[in-house]
Order: sequence, then C-alpha cells, then structure tokens
Amino acid sequence: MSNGIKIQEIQKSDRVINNRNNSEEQLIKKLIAGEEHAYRELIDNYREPVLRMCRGFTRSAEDAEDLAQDVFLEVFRSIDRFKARSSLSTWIYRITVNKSLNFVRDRKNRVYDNSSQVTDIENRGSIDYSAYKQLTQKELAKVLHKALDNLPAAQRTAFVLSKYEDMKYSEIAEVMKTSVSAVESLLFRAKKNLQKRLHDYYEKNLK
Amino acid sequence: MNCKQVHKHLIFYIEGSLDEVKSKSVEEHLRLCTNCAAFADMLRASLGVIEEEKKINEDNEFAGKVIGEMHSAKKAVSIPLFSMIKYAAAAAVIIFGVFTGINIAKVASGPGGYRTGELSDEEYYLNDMYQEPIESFFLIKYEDNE
Repeated sequence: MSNGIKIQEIQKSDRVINNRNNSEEQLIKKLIAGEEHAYRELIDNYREPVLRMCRGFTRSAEDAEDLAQDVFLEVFRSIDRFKARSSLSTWIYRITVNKSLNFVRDRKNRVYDNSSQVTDIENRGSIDYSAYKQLTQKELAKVLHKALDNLPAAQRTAFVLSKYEDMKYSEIAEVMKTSVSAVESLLFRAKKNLQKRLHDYYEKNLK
Repeated sequence: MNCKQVHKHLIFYIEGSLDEVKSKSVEEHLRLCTNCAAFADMLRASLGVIEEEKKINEDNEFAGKVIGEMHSAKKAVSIPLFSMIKYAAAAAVIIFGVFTGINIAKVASGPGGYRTGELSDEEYYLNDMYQEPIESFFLIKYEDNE
C-alpha cells in the first residue's frame, strides 16, 4: 500500500518536472522567435532573484537595477546559444554572477567616490564600541559592502547566492559549477573573512 | 570560552548555524564580556542590512525598460551593419573600375599586345615628347656657332 503511494508520488513529481520542462522549452522557443510577451514572462519570473543577486554585488539599489537590466539584455541576446545542459534558471543565474563580477572588477578600477560618509565615520576618533549605534542603516550598508568587496570572487559569489537568494548548497554548486563540499568550504571562509574584516573596521574606527 | 574562541564562532552563532552546546557557551560569554557583546551587536546589525537589501520593490516599468533597451540596442547594431554594406559597395566600385581600366587598356593596345617605342606619323606630331623644344633648338645652334 505504502509502496503504491510512493510510486504515485514519484509519478506525480515526474509529471510536474515534465510539465515544467515543457513550459520552459516553449518559453525558450518563443524567446528565440523574439516574441515580446515571452520576454515579459521571463522578466516577471526572474526579476526578483536576479535583482536580489545583483544587490549583493552592488552598493546601491540603482546600480543593482542597471545591472539586472544588463543581465536580461544578455539573456535575450544569447538565448539562441542556450544548449539546455542546465536549467534555464541556472543559466540565467550564471549570467547574473558573471555580469556582477565584471561590474565589481570595473568598479574597483574606478575611484570610489561615495566613500565620504564612511570617511566621516572613520574620522570620529576614539570612541567606545556602542558608537556603531550612531551609524545609520545606509552607513552600515556601506561598511558591509566595503567588507564584501574585499572578499575573493568565489567566496563572495557563494555568500551572495546563499544570503541574498537563500539558495541551497546544491543549487549554489550547480550555478558555480563546483561540488557541494567546495561550496561549504567557500561559505565557511567567506563568513570568517567577512567577520574579520568587519571586526578590523570596528576596531580601527569605533573602538 | 574566552574572547578568541567566541570570535571563532560568532558569525555562525548569529546566523543560528552553531550547535546547541557551543551556542550556549557563546551566549554565556556574551553575557559577561561587554566588548564581545557590543561587537556581536554590530555584526548582527551589519548582517541585518542584507535582510533589508533583499526586499525588492514592485516595479511595473522594469520589463518595459529592458525591452525598450533591447530595441534600441538592435537599432544600434543595425547601423554598423549598414555602414559595412556601404564600405563593401565602395570597395566593389573601385575594384570594378580597376578591372574595367585594365580591360580597356588591353583592347586599346590591340591584338599584338603592348607596342615598342616606334610611333606612327600622326603620333609623332601629336605627341609633345617627340617635338623638339625651342630651347634645345637654340642651344644646338649656339653650340654649332662655337
């Protein structure tokens, strides 16, 4: 009896997967054909996760939106090269990560002109630990992103996918084309490094 | 646990992934150590920023913006294509001109191919190069008188 139920459940989940694959296939065909409603459908499905990921790599919501637009443009431009070796979502997330890492690299080459507020905090002199309470949410965000910017690319990618998009280790491993154990290690080091950088910052500026 | 040991586990304690025994030890230390407790608060506040940044606002214009960008990008791509066609057409005209010139020259030179230096009577009178310049005429006369 229980075996029968299990088989039914497996068949049901197979049907769900097949239906999803079919609808994904249909969507891809429509995208290749350049149908505008298909573009809208894809954007509606992926706008939020793509924006969240982009937010993890950028210092402002505006930059994240610009980056997300670039991601979708790239997706539409290269949809005819999509070979379906992975799911459409994984492919889109890979494009998002690559675009975001390029964005971070380009930004590092430019002068960071928004650092004035953080510098102001840095110049407050020797104050006690509770001084962090004087930091606004915006200033805290700047400190966090400064620390994130200093993480190696792979650690940062794993961290952003985990914390901003709440992905499971196996999903992160698929996007990053690596093993689950490698993701575990990357996340462990990312968190340790992030804590260390934040601690250094607070020790230096707020203690 | 001392401060160093607590710092080893702090971020995992804050995100709630530390096991129960270690969590209790960290908690105990934070109750007694004001420095570590303050840093733990700061770390919590910093990581709390992520939760705020994860909130995505509704934006009904986003899809329109992307599709609009895509159309203008397509136009931008089509302009270089047009200019490439223009250059290709110009190059074709030049090549056509050169070949036509060569063929006309071949036809004009007759079936015998290019001729040697001998000129016909008409050509002799029509070609300035074969006329004696007036200066040489006087020069020769002058040399003869000497």
